[in-house]
Amino acid sequence: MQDAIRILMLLDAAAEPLAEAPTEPALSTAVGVVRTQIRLQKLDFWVRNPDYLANELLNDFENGDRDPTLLMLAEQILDSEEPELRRYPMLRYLFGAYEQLDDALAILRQADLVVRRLRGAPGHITQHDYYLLEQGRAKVSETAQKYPALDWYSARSKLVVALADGIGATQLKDRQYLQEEYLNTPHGFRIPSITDRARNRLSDLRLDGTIKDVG
Amino acid sequence: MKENISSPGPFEADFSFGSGVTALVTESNLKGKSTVLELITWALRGSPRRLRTDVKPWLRNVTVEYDLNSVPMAVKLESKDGRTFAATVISGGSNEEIEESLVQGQMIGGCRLLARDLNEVDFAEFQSALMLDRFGLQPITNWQKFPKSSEGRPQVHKWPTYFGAIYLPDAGSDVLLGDIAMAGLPARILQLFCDVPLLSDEIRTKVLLNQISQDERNTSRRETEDAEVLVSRLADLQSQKAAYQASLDSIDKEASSGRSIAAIEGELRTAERRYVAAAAGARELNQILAEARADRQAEQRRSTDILESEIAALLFQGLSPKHCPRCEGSIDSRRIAIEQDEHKCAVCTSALPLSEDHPAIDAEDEVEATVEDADGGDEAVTALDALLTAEVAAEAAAAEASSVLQEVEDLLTRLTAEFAHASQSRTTAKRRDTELALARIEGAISSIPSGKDSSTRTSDTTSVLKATVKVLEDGTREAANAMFVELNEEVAKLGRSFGIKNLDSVELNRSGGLKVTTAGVPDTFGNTSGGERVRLRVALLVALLRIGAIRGNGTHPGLILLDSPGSHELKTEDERTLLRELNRLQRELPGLQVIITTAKPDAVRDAVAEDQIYLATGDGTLW
Repeated sequence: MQDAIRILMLLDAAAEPLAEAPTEPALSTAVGVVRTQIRLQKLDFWVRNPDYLANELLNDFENGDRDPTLLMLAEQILDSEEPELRRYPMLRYLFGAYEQLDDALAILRQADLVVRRLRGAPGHITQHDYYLLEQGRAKVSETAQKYPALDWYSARSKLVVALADGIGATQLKDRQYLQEEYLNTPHGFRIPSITDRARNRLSDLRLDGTIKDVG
Repeated sequence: MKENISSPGPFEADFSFGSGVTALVTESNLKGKSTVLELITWALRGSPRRLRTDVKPWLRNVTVEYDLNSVPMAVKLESKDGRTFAATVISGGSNEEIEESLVQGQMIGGCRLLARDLNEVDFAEFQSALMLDRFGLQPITNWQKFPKSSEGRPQVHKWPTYFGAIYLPDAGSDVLLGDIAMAGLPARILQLFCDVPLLSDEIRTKVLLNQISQDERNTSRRETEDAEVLVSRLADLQSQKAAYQASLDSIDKEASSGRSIAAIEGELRTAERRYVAAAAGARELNQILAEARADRQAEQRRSTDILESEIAALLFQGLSPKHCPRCEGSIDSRRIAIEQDEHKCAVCTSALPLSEDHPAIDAEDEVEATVEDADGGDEAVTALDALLTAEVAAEAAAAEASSVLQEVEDLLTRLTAEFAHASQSRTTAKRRDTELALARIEGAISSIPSGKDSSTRTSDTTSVLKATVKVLEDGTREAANAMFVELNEEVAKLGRSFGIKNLDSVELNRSGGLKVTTAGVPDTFGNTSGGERVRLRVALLVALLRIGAIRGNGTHPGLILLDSPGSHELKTEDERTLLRELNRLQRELPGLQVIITTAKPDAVRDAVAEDQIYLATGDGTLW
């Protein structure tokens, strides 16, 4: 059930507005869509693994234009207990982090919050599209109002989406594979934590003096 | 072979000398009379006194035969080139055998060859040694002072000096006897010829004393000078030592605030042990903390999961199902009615359990209640709180351990630095250097001999010698004084008989002076006239011979050579008187032989036996 909350929040943050309302009656109340299962799963991976997220932020900091905001975000994660408290390990499945989203989606579907649509012929599914319905968005608002304990999912989802902004799903997957521990994880095992490495990396950056004015 | 003169050519001359006076007379000078004396002197003394250099090359063969203590002796001087001579000395046998030996060039009868072909220098040495030995005389060693100095050196006088009492000085010389104008020497010669007991020993001892005293004075002076240098050096060193000591004291004072290396090292070791223990403790506590934190985090995760799951359940289960999650088929109102009426699930039509866990009504309230319950549930909160408390405690303990560890580490760092400083600091190095310098100076000071007063030190040797000299002097003075008294009387008597008018008395002293009193006026020998000096000298020798003869201990050979005694302020009459008196003495002193030269034939006439006059009249030569 936790998963359903997380997926709902994530879909809310990641959903792209619809150019035109779908013709299908079931989607008549759709307010946005998240395209492809891989994209959803990868975004979910970063939400569930703050250590990988922080590491990715450091990568962007070092490889990009050294935006201090990226570093600050990484520091907030690594200096907190988030990597310990907010880690929901995934199994490695075939080519990447994967966990059946079906259970969570079923919960969301029965309440008419989210509708999944498959493209392609049966047996040859080419793409999953996840439509957020009006009720779903309303539920997100209601949750935010009623249960501040769940604010974290909302905020983290927004951060993850921002990080992935402009990056296609396959590129997101490639990023994950850059992490050595992830690559080396045998199929069917839990993806290990890289918290210590990320923290050491941050510490090194701090010692370099590169980021002393940050945070 | 005479050369470079008006009458050149080979020559040969024989002179024989009986007892008493033999006179060599030439009316002109430079006719060979002095040369005869010089050749006799050469043979007997070992070296001529004033042999003319233009005459010496003329000589080829000079033979002098003489008796020494009744033993016939001969000296033959041969020259091939006229410049250098080789000497042969023969002794023993008879006079005839010696002559024969000389002619034949080999020893005949009792003759013995004493030396052959000696060069002039070796002959001089040989003859000197031979004569001293035969007459039982010792070399006279005198202490001769350097001019204008307290220093001096021993000077050894051998036979040629004694010969000064045979071949008398020229009338013009103011020396009493001998060729060397030296105080004391004539008196020595006289006394030795008289064989004053222990005189030789006294002379030698005195010289030895002089030598040793001088050496000691010099040594003492050097020692004094050295001591002064050492004293100055010592003072210098001691002042350096004081400076270094002061420096060392100040270093120690400076360092006294610090502690000894050993003390620091001890503390360092203790601190190291403490550090090891503290580090182990801190490690252990950190491990405990890590475990406590992991436990708390796990519990926190678990409680979050529970909370979120319950919220999710409220959020989603409380809803009325709109579509089947499986087939997405619409849940129509009929199904909703069945669920409410027949208690069958609107989705799957299974019978719904009638329990409070499945609230169908007032779901919203129920959710809030459940969330509150999950939020503040006793059990969960208690567990998490307990874990948090444990973690905080572990954290405090670990912090405390860390703090202790840090403290010990700081102490360790401080002690290590202090230790390094103490063992390598400039102060320590400086102290070591200063100590080394001090040790060197102390070594230098200890190597300086303790300053003993070495000034005017007199050795035992000197004292003994002084005492010995005094004893000898006492002995010889007495003997000499007795002898001198006799000599004085004899000389005065003889002087008067030799024609010195108004001669009251003479007085020899041991330092060699001769005080002459004429007409009641005393004067020194040197102030008397030349003629008087000649006569006084002869008188002195004759007196010596007389006393020697009386005492039986005279060693004077009884030969007197007088070269032209009348040439210097001695009137012919006075010369004749002298010669006559001398010739008369041969009765009393049978061994006395006097050879004189004169340019005044009148002086010898009636004074000297006819057969002992070699006369060259006019411009004639003796040879």
